[in-house]
Amino acid sequence: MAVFLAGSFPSRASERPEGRGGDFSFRRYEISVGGGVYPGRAAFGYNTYSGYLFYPVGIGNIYEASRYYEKERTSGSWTAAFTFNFTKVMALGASLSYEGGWSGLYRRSDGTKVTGCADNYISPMLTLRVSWLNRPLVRMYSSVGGGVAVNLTREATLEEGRRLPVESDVTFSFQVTPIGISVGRKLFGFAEAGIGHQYVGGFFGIGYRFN
Amino acid sequence: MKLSVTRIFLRAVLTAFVASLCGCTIYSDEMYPEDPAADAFRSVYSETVDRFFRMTELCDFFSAYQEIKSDADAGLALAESYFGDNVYYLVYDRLSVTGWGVLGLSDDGSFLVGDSAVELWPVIPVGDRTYVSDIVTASGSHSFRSSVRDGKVVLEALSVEYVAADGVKVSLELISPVSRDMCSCGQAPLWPDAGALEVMFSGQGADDFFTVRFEDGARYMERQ
Repeated sequence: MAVFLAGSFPSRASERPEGRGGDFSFRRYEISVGGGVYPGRAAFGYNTYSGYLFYPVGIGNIYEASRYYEKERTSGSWTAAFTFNFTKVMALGASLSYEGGWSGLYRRSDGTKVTGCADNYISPMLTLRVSWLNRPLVRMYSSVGGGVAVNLTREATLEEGRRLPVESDVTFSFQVTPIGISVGRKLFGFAEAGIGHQYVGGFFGIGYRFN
Repeated sequence: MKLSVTRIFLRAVLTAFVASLCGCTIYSDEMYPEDPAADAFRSVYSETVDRFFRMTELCDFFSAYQEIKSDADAGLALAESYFGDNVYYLVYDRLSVTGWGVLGLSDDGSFLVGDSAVELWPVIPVGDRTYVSDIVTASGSHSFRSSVRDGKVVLEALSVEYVAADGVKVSLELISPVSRDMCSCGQAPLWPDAGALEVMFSGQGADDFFTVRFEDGARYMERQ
């Protein structure tokens, strides 16, 4: 990562960015990609809980559950967006997000996987953004978005060799970003803090503005 | 090297972005409890030991109430000193307390006590704030001898053996008297502060045998 950082932006000591300290440059369109920490669907909980195998709760099932452990992982939350700037202040964006989660139940005695489940979300969303600080280099904004999430859940009971059919479900999806900051002109980096189905916590990415 | 603000910010954002990418597969192992005995005992405790404590408190109050029941205000004041605002109703021969249960007075002077009116167990006051109960139900047998001494409810004898709903056989035997503070104004500790029990589960894959020792609200589980 250190090598990546060192090599990303070679220094040119004599460079003086054009328009530095000049007027705000309005560009109509933006494209961006970013990743969220912590993934939103993971924060709200995937539909991959294998504990249902040990219901109803009773003494026998308490002891049975102790013979297994569950491992869960997530792909993280990734978003690609296209934004149309109506004015310097108002913008409307369309984005597509992906987040996947997997969990498996393993037998403690020999590590055998007993059952596995996958939860994949594809979320198109429309976002309204208000930029309340617009400087040539730095912009700060707030946004709110709503959309749907197509959820593909797949569960397999591996011991019996049985794979259950993929179930799909469409659910509501939202994202509220009280504060975000972008730095740059055409090429920019951005960082946000918010809560929603895309991410809970921070969102980081890069983008490009053009006319 | 001269860095502009943009470059500094982009580097920071890309660092976070790459960190997100590197951590894009987040593992979180969720381990089920190593020793299920604690959870299993907790579920059994509420149906046995804690129930016996509550039954004793209901009986102890109602025994004292019999002396003053003609004075409604005194009776209610006594009930509140035991159960606080949890008294649902109180009449000459019946009592209902939220969180404790219900009690009815039999013609022979014994009490019929239970979590609800659906299942009532006979409890016999034998004098000196001491109560005994010996019940045989469809699922098993429950017997105890309890008393109220110096502000504490004491289980002086206890023997429980029944088959739980999932088919596990549960057995409890007293090793040393189990006690906790008497309820006061509706407050009562959940766990005892002294005593020890022997616990055995058998069947349905839940075969286990251990002792539980109570000390100042904490529980210590030991296997031989």
